[in-house]
Amino acid sequence: MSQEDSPGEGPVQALISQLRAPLPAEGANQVVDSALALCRQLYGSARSRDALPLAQAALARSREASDPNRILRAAAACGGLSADMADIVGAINYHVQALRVGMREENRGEMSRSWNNIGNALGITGNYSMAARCFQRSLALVAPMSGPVYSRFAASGNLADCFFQLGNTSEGIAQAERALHEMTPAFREHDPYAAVLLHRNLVRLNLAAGRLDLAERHVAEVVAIGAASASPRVRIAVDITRASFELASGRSDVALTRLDQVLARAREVPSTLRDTLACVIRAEESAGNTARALMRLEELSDHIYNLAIERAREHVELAGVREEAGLAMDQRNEIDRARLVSKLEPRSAPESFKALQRLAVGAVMRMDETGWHGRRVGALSKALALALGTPPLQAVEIGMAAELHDIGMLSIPEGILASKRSLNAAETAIVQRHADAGAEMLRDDDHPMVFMAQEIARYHHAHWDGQGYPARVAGRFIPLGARICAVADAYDAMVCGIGSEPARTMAEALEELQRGAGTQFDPEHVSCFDALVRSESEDLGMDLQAGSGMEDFQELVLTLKEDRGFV
Amino acid sequence: MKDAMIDAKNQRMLELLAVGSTSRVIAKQMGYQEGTMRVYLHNLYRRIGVANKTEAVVWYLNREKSRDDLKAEKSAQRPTTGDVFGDMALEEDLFATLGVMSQFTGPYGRVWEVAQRLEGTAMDEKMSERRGRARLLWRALLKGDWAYGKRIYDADMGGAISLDAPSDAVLLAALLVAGGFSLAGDRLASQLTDKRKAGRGVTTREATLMRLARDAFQAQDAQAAAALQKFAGEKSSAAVIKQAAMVLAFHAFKARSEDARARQCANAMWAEAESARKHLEAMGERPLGGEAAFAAPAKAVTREKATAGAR
Repeated sequence: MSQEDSPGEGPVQALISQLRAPLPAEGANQVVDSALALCRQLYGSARSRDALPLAQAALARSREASDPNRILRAAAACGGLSADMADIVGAINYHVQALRVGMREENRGEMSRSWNNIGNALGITGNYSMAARCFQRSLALVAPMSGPVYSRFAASGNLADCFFQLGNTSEGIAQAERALHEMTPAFREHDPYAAVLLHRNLVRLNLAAGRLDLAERHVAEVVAIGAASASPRVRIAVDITRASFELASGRSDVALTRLDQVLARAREVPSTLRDTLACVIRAEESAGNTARALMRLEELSDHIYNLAIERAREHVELAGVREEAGLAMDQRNEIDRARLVSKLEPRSAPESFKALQRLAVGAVMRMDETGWHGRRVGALSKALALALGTPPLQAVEIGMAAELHDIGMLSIPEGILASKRSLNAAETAIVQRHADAGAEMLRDDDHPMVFMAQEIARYHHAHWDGQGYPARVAGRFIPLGARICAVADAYDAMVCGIGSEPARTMAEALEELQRGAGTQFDPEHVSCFDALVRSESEDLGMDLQAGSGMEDFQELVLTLKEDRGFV
Repeated sequence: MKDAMIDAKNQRMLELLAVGSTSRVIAKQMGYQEGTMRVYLHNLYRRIGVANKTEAVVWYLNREKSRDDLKAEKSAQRPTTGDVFGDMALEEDLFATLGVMSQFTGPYGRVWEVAQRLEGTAMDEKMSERRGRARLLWRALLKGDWAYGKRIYDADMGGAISLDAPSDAVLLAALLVAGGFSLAGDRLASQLTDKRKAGRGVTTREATLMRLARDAFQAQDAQAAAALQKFAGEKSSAAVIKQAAMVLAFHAFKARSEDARARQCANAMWAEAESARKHLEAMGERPLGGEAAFAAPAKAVTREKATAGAR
């Protein structure tokens, strides 16, 4: 993993405190420079979340020293890091700051870079027409300059992607060729990611134009550049490129296997998730897994696209780029959805689901003697999904999938699970393996529900702030089902006293959940769950404060499970 | 108007006469001695000014017919608005207006059916019986067929229903109260155990629904119907309770001739049905069917193959 070969927490914290301490001007410049270099390194190894505070501190320090050159670089770094975490509004904010400094200094090269960065941020949200305008501005600014110019190289490469996305293949190829012409070995060395993206664009464009031979050549280029780089971002881009080529040449099963791994990695680098999901959707569709493609589309449009685009739209109008819509993207998603839905078959319970349920009961029995932890979490998850406004049948599926969330516990030595004391680091690491083990057990199933169960098993210990495991998967980039399950799972464990947890009353457990909102859990889900438990238990006339909540809690869960002819 | 003299008891007697029941059967159905029943019947004849059973039936049928005419007249007077669904709901009833879409509403509806299949629960006889019963109650509620509720209650289903399926009993109680059978409604409601005391019973929300329905129809309170509508809009309630409140609010507003608000409720029901249908479609279901003709040949081929293989 990249964790070993990139700097740990120590240097980051040390640099931040140095930046905050008063320093002589000379020394300060040095610290800022090394901070920005460290940010760049962290960005390369997909740890933007750790790097952002450092970049912000560097920006503040440069402002104090009113050093335009460093303000510019620090702001650009902040913007790039925010965009990488899919905080598009924040990113545009920073880039606009950099743009203003560039304008004041009348530095066309830097202004051009800023426009390029703004375009990149918009590209992450999928608003390609708006992004294209930014890239065009960037190009116009450096048009009078001769010789290889980095901004021209980057912007025309990016513009090529916009043209591809907007369906204008010939114009896209022309732009990409221009970028290729502009690229020097130095650029390639300095920014392998941009180089990979450029070749990726050429692969896609050539595939769209039906020239497989040319595309294949560029795939080779992409692989060659990728081999020289350890950055996860580059590796993701390489794999997506290879997968799209495999798709085009009819090997969709190979592509799917590749994409499965890419997707897991892309969740740690949110800015690449959009592209990955788009590719996964195409792969699933061509492999005939309509339901799964639809699930991905849902994730793409609801959890990533809508969030980012809405906020970006508001903001970019303020920044003076008036644009009615990323409507084209909405429409495209709608068309995709309609096409997929028309191909969808009615589904029933997955084959062997009963057996899986039994296995899950057996797995859970090693830490909860009733063995019903999974069932309870399933019922709570379904209720929470409904309360969040998920359509009923989807909520049913989430509930059933969540029942299997701890199935991976089967692979954990019983001695560790049975102990009631808190675990040491080595034991914790072993227990943490249950997430991946569960995902492995549920792999490669055609039924969308088991597929969802696999994601829930893998990500139900991911924290909202990225501090859980798998590490760095955070926020809305955790699959919805897993976020729901995480709340239900923690609540059940607290009320029933599973593992080293002491048993709490239902009210205490709710308070504990509230404390974890925004760090461990999706805050929206916690408040919704809180309201749900309170209203349901009021409906049943329960006292949440009562000493042992166990009996009431069982009753609550039973009520949620009871079939009264409602969903 | 003559109708004022006909209370619920007399109405029931006339209904039973019209289907050809003898006075003994009527007595048994209504829980009186046969002699008492005869006295009541004669009082009824005198009141409506007829000489015997046959004339009473003719009188009753004429009156029913003119009621239909009255209804048609009334709806002709009602101005049509652009709200096609609301207009028709006021003219006919919710069941007729929703048509096949009514399947996507109420308890044990289509969504429930698919959910059962997703969960892999096999539909046994007992469950399908329970489902059939609940669906009929729901249909009566949409139609405003109050007499159906009373018939179910009279057939001594009341006792069994409140033990077996409290949620259905809630619908039945609402149906009774809405039809003016408040005594029966109250009796049924009092039979329903509180869920917090026994495992099977009604929840606080269901109790609230019954109370609101009682207020809206019995007290004829302008506020009460609005309270029902508000209750239907609450986010936390289960879909079925929400929908039941919506339907009851529709009937209450309609009875009070508050057409605009009745239309609101009717349209809200349509929206519920439509969103359920869309949801089913998004899950790959074909909720309105119509595909069998295409699916059949493929199936036939596989069956042939299977038999060939078996041989």
